[in-house]
This record gives sequence, C-alpha cells and structure tokens, in this order.
Amino acid sequence: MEWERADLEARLCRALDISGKAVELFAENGYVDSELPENSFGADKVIAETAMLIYIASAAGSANVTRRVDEIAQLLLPHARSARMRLDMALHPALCLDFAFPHILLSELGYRDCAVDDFLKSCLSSRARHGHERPPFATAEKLWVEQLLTGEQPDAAWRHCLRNTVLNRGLDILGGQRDDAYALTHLVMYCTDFGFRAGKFPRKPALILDEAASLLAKCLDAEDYDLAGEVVLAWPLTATPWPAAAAFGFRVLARVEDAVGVLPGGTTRVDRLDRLQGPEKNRYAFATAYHTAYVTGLLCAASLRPRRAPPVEMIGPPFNARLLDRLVDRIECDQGHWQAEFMKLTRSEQEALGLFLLDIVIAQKCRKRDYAAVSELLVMADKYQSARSPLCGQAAELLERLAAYARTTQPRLIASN
Amino acid sequence: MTNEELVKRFIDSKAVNFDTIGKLVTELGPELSASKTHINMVLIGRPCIIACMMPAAEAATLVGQLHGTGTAEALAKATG
Repeated sequence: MEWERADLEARLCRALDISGKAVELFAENGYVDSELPENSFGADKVIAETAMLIYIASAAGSANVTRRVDEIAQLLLPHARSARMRLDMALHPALCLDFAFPHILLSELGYRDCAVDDFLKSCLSSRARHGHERPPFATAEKLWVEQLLTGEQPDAAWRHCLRNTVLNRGLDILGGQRDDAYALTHLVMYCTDFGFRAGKFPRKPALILDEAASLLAKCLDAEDYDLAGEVVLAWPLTATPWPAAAAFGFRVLARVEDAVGVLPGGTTRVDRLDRLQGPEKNRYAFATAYHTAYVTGLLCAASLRPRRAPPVEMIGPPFNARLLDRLVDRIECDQGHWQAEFMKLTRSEQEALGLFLLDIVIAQKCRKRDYAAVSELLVMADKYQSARSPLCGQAAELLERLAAYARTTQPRLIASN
Repeated sequence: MTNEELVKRFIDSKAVNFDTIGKLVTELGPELSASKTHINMVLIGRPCIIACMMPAAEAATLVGQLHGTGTAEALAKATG
C-alpha cells in the first residue's frame, strides 16, 4: 500500500506556498542576519532554489500543483532575468551559468526569453568562461546545467567528472563533513535531472543507495532533517523501489513535520523567534525555515510521479529476531524522533528495519565515542551475518584506525582480549 | 573487500581496549571540534548553486519547542 497521494500533494502545495512568500521576501535583496552572519544569504540562492522546486514540481501531475507552479514562475521571472542578474553574467563570465540557472530552468518549463538566451550565449563565448575552479560535484552541477541549456546528452566529460566524485569514490559516512553528504545528495539530483531521466552512475546504483541508507541512519540519529530529506530523495529520483529504511525515513520526516508544522532545519532559534515581532519575526522564520520546507517539497514532488510513492508499510528481508532484540536494548534514548515511530511499528516491520537499526545504533555509539560498544555491535552483527552495510564496514575501519592511533601514542592501551 | 570482510578483519585483529580509547578521544574532543569548525568555514565558501550549507543540528531542541512558539504560525500567517 502506497502513501496517500492527497497527503503528498498537500505537503508539496504547502512548500510551494512557502516558496512564493520566500520569493517575495528575499528575491530582491536576500537576507542579512546581523546576529548570526552565517545565516545570511543572497537573493540568487532563494531564486535558484525556488526555480528548482517548481522544476521538479512541474511533473507532479496535479492541477493544484500546476497552478502554483505557474504563479511562482511568474513571480520568479523578473528576478531570474533581472538587469542585475544579467550584469552579474557580464561581469563574471566564468559564473554566468550559475547566474543563469533560474532562467534556464524557467525556459525548460516553457517560460522562454530568446533575448536572454542570446545574451547568455555571448557571455558563454568569452575566453574567461572556464576561469573558475570548482570541486568535482560543483563541476557536475555546471555540466548538468549546460546539458539543460544545450539539450545535449551526458558525454565523456560528464562521465569523467563523475568518476572523481563521492558517487564513485564512496562517502565518508562517519567522519565526513556535512557538505560531503550534500555532494552525494546533489549529485543524484544532477545525474537523474531531478528524476526526469534515468541516471547513469559511475558505480552500481545499489552501492550508492546502500551508502545513502547508512547516511540516512546517521541523519536520523543526529535529527538533521534537512539532510535526511535530501538523502531520502535518492530513491524516488532514481525510480528505485523504496527499501524499508527509506520508507521509514520518509515516515519520520512526515511525522516530525506534522508535529512542528514545518520540517525543522537547524537554524531557527526559538528564543530569538520569541524576541522578534511583526515583519521581522516573519522574515526570520522564513529565512531559517524555508530551505527545509523546500526539501519536503522536493521529496513529495518526486514521490508524486507514477510508481514512486513511498510504501506505508516497512517491508524487507527477514532479520534475526534475537539480534533485533539485542539492538533494541542498546538504543540510546537521548535523542532521535525516529524512536517513537519505530516503537509504533509491527514486529515484522521492525524486523524489516533490522539492518537499518544496526546502522543507527552504531551511529549513536560513534556519536558518543563509545567505541567499546561499537566493537561489541560489530562482533554481534558478524555472528548473525548481518554486518553488511557500508556503515558497518566504515565503523570497522574506524576502530582499526583508532587502534593504530593508540599503538602510536599510548602503547599501554594495547591489551590482548 | 566487502563490508563483511572489513568487519571480520577488524574482529580478527582484537588487540585494543576501546573503553580507554573512547575516553582518550573524548578528552581531545574540544580540539577536534575546533578544527572541524575551521574546515567547515573554509568549505562553506565553495561556489555552488544549490547552497544547502547552513549550519545544522539542534533540531533536537526545535521539535517540541517550535510547535506553538511561532515558526509554523508565522509561515502559515504569511502564506495565507
């Protein structure tokens, strides 16, 4: 049984409504946070992200969504093709695709402007066009935008670029930085053109999705719902049947959104929200919450496409009941809204999530630096032939590195077990 | 090498008191956190169209606190 379509559509419409307001508030001058400058962002960010949201939403196949997509496109058009945007393209030809990104997406949606196209082409013909250094995932992003612009299929340069990304090399799930994880989630978006094409990946998709599942376990433990939402997107974007872990992730996100009213990101500060009044309060609430609302919208838009809705029930391969009980006994209860949802599941659903639960508990123990418990979990998982996930492999390597570290710095720590 | 093989290799090596290592790493925690922040600050500057790099975490305190305290209400009011 699939997630109810009307519910997915309502969540998407809510995200689209928020995006319309975000454009009104920030598409002119962005947002400046005087107390926490890292929360500040430019107008181009909200314009680009909103264009992306309506791009993916355009295929949802719903009149309510289509009407909103058109309304928001009309709001975006003057900003996406503003004199300032065109001047930026003229001044910075190596970044002109970045500035033109909303224009290109709007063109894909049928809102064309030949004059801007011609101007963009003139900027792209500049000698300085490639004069900007980008990490591999940002290069992949640029190549994807070029494909949208030219209509050309992914070529050798694209394949070469992907070979240097985490899609091919594998993600450092336990020790990586947050933007490494975003590199993975964004690359899936580019490879699949937000679900509009079958993605061609540098590794077997199953291996990438296994890493995504382990990453999701870490995100749910950390209550990082912004990132968790982007990770879950990997399944509907690749049109891969939802495994129990992804279906469970979707359910947790939906329940958290229902509880709060909007899927919470990590930047809204309740005390500050309490202090602010009137328009400033609205601006602060939108500036710090809109992005996670967009992630909900992306996820529901992708899930609304035919045969991509998440299942309501968690279904998976059998899992050893004794191991499941031992894992449940070891759950850290200090954080994680997933726990309440997990406890509501039937026993067979919990068993379907056995491997995922193992990943979560390992992530918890790593967070608490309880490496003795990680070691015990790996021994336990090996005994039941369940140490199969990328997170299990990376946890084993982490312990090996720590053991090597101990040998080099504190030889007395070495003790035979 | 598969993930299962990595785990087996680790188990076969059994040579270290991980309780003590955990305490040691925790003692070094503040320094590690500081260097992590530095790395983040450098990387946030990377140009990228889809900029999802706003600081994470503490959502723990948001769920249950945000409800009824303003964000959802502010968004709802503004979006009609």
